[in-house]
Amino acid sequence: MDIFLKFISTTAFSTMTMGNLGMIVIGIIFITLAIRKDYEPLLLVPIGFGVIVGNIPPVTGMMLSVYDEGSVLNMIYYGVSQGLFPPLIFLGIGAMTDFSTMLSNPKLVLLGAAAQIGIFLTFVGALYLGFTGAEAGAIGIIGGADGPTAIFLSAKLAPHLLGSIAIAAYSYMALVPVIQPPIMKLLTTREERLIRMKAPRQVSQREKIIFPIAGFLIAALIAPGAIVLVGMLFFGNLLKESCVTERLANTARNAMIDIVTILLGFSVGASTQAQTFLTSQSLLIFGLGALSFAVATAGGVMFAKFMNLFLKDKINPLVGAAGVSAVPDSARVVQMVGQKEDPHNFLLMHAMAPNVAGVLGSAIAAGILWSVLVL
Amino acid sequence: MNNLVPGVENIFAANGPAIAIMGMLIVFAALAFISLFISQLPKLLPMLSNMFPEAHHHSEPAPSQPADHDKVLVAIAHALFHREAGSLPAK
Repeated sequence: MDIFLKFISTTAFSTMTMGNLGMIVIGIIFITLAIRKDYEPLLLVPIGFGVIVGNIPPVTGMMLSVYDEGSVLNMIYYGVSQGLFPPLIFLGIGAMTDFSTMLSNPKLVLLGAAAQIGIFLTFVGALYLGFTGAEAGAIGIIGGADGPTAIFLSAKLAPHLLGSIAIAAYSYMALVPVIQPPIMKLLTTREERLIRMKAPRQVSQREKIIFPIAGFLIAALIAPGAIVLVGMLFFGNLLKESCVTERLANTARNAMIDIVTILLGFSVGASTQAQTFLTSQSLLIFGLGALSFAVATAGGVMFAKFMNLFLKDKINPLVGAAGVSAVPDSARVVQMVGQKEDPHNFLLMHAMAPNVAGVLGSAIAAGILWSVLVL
Repeated sequence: MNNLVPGVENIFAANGPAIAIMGMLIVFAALAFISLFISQLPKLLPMLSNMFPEAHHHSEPAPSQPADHDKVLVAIAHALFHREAGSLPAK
């Protein structure tokens, strides 16, 4: 009988809290949204299941949780906590990104820069609320709308907030089709939304090969803190565009990125234990995250309108919203909103230019915040 | 967990405005330089082409020589002749 009672005391039922139950429900909601609504399934399924796994209360004396040194989950989480996984994901992203739309219309790169105002205004907002500089920097990067960048910077600046920041970043990336359209319509007139842009020019293979090398040199020399993320992004792109390393590019954009995504999503989800995640700080982070996306969208749209004051060939201001680097969701949102006004206006290819520039911009912003706030 | 106390003084205590303004300027500068480089690249490429002429793409097949086409015709003619003459089985 004593053995039976001892066994009962080692089950998770005896130590389960309402917080753990709540988090398990949240994990189930993520999985449901991914499967039923097709909301970022490649991320929400691993994260959702990781949340469920991470909120089974650990048994004293057994190394089971993400935070138990030497446990399996801890070893997988090492890639997140030490910032290994995000650069590998950027390698895969570079190997699947086509920069030709950006190369064919370089002025649209500036829209990707403008959208990063969401990062820095959210940084200021987080400071106002009382977060430390490092914490505010990690929260601000949510506005970059880039999951790997958010995880990378949080791991460096505020590892105790990594779970909340990662969940906020990925949740809002999945909600881009909900958050962006009202802001885009509010800040543009019908006439502006109907602007048709000139077709992009053809870009030569030489340009596509030279760009990742030159782009990396420019970005890394200006913001050395961005070396890791930007370097891997452009390295992956060179593997793709050089045409002599196709099998490496193929591995990077398929098998490798899938493996890292599984491990990263699962371990980030498992790190969101109720005790560390269900706090008032997490609620504030979620609120700031929504604000950052809204400000980033507004920043891109308004800057496009500003540029139109000086341009003969006008930019459709909707394209500015694609500076929020949720690739390719925000570009698709631009296409969708544009087509509601004019079904024959195809903005997707134009929107991809600020979209990929935004990836670059958020990586550079992360490098700047890391170098300023950690040193 | 630290208790958060909101206040404008928090922003200035952490050099918030300076970091935000400087950060945006650096992001803009980096992407503006990249944009400028991209816009000048089509003008730089002809100079590069003089120094490094275009080579055949590795994954593209080498263009076939005219003699190959004639050899194929000869082979087909040879096979047809022998089939008509009965030395090759008909399909």
